[in-house]
Amino acid sequence: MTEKGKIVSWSLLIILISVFQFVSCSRKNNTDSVAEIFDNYPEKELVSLASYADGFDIYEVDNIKKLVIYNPRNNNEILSTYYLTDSAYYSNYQTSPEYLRTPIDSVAVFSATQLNAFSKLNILNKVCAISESEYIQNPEIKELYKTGQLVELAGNGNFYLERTLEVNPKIIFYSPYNMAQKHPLAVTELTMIPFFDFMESNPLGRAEWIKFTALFFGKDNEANSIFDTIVNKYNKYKELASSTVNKPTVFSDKYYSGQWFVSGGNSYIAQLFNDAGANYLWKDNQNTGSINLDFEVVYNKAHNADYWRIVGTYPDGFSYEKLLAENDLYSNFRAFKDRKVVFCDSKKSTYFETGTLEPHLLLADFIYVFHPNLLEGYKPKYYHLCK
Amino acid sequence: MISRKHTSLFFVILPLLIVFLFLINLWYGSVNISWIDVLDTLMLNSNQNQASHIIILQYRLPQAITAMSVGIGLSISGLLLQTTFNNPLAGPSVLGISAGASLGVAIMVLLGGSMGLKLSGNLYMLGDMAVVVAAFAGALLVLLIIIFVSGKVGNAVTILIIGIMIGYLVSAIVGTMQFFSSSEDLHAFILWGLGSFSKTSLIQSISILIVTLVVVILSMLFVKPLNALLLGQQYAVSSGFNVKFLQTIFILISGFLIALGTAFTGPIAFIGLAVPHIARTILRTSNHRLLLPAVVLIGAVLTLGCNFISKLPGYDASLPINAVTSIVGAPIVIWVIIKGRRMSNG
Repeated sequence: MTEKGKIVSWSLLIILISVFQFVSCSRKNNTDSVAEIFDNYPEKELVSLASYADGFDIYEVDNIKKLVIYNPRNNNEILSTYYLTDSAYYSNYQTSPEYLRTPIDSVAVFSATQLNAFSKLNILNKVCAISESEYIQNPEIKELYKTGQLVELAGNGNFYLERTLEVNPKIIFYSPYNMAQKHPLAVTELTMIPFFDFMESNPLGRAEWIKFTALFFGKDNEANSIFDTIVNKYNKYKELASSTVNKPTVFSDKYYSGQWFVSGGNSYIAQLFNDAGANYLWKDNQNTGSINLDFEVVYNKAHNADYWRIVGTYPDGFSYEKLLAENDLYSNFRAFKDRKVVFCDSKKSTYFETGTLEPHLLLADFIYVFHPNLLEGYKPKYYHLCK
Repeated sequence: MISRKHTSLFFVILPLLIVFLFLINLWYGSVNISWIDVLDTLMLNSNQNQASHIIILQYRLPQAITAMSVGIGLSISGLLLQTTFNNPLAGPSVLGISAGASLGVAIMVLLGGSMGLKLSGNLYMLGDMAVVVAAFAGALLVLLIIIFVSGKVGNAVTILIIGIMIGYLVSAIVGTMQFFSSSEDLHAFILWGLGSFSKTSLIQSISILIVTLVVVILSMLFVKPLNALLLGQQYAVSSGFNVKFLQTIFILISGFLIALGTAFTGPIAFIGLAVPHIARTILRTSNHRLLLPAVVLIGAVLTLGCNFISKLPGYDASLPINAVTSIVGAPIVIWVIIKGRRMSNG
């Protein structure tokens, strides 16, 4: 190599090193990724914007929102974390795949419960795909599906992989029952966001998931105001029932195929019973889901209970004869004999779709059943005492 | 053949064992009830509104009666099928009859959901009675196909193979339906498949028992032709029996018993196949004059015993009966067969 060549290569090397140094310096001055902004932030000042829900937390720093989703079976385990911002500034150096620019313009929603939140937030136009269309009752969505503006990506438990790739939604909201199993659509490598509202055992916590939805579409303020209204109404009813001294006993659900799946003592429904001034017979149980019991266990404990709560649907409405036709043993319950069944027709009342965002009405319905004098003239929406 | 003394001892001990297990089934459960309450209830001395009275009379009693009846029915059908087809592997599940019952239930619970045929949006609302009808219809359908085939084909082995094929076919159809059903419907279907003796009312259970006993008495009339069949179809023909007719009768009887049991309790595995083997090994005979009553007794003991075991101590729910019959029964059969071998060798 000539002297000249040596000088050139040396100077090239020096330039390369200084460029590298410059780059690494500038990154040190700033941060490596969006995630570090949160890691460097004093922990004490980070307060979650979700106050009732156990399944997620939202933190905000410098116009970036960090969304943490927990494993519903173990709230200490973080399932996924997303960083959302509508500011273009951060995209210059974002490095994490969990970084999302909001508002998202297309989403596939795999649960009718979640669609209700979209409807309330006026962002149904962002929904490009749904699943299990035949079970959806929301008229707006039914119409959009009929006119072909919405596509179905799953039906009867099967996911349509190729159609999903074709529709190519930015994100997918899905509700997995089993996190250990890989989702059938995971191979598409689309951003799939687990949505665990149904695992939330606090009625207000379940309703709070509207904030979760809103986050992706820049509708935070709307969601906050909707949620605050729900909380206010709920607490007002709860306050009303808290004064009651006489708490009627209540049990729940039905016997099916040798098992009675009874709601646990920390379940969604147990908390509603408690807040409505009722004495739920399994309130001391620690379970947040449901427990399967022998008929005789339920009978032994609940045969003298005042009320019996059932959710379901009958072709031409509920009747005691139809209930008895399912099992003769039901006639031995006092709540049956005294005609104190509290029934919610899940189909007619769209309980599973709209109930989540109306916990205050569920509560009021129960109060009206258990303590009718507290809410005179009230018109129940979901639960009715069947005469 | 074992001595006469042993045989009569067997027929004394087993009825006593049945009575004992029956009472144990009434006394023991998730809810603690004292012996005195059990006896009071049985003598109709107790207060009718007392919880223990209703639990014993309306829950545990029908459960025990159903367990016993289904045990008897499945065991008899197993014996009849094994003799008819001259095959030790024949049993309720082999002829595709319990698969037929599954098909009926699957159409009701699974397909109903996806085709919108379902009577209601919530499958738990269907109630157990609708499922019973569906299971019975499915089982009878397969039964009719098999009887039709056996009318055309005289050969027992061919009928057996066709039965197995129908079973596979039906299982594949059910599997496909499962694939296309929602998780909720699947759950209901799986619950049914696990089996349960506690889905019958007292009246239903007594009816099942009476029907089963009538069929058992009816089948006692066929001891001679059964023994003849055991020595081969040709022997039976030469003894003056109409083999084709007999085959049809035996398939009909066993099919009816299987359909009855499966409809009310779900497919209970194992009993029908195992009990005839246990009876043959204990009594060391193939004479149906002894085998038929022995199978009735052993079947009742086994199902009552399994029902007792399924009620785990200190646990508020029962194990699925189908799991218990297999877990408890399979080792028993293996033990009995090995022991029988050793005795015959030594």
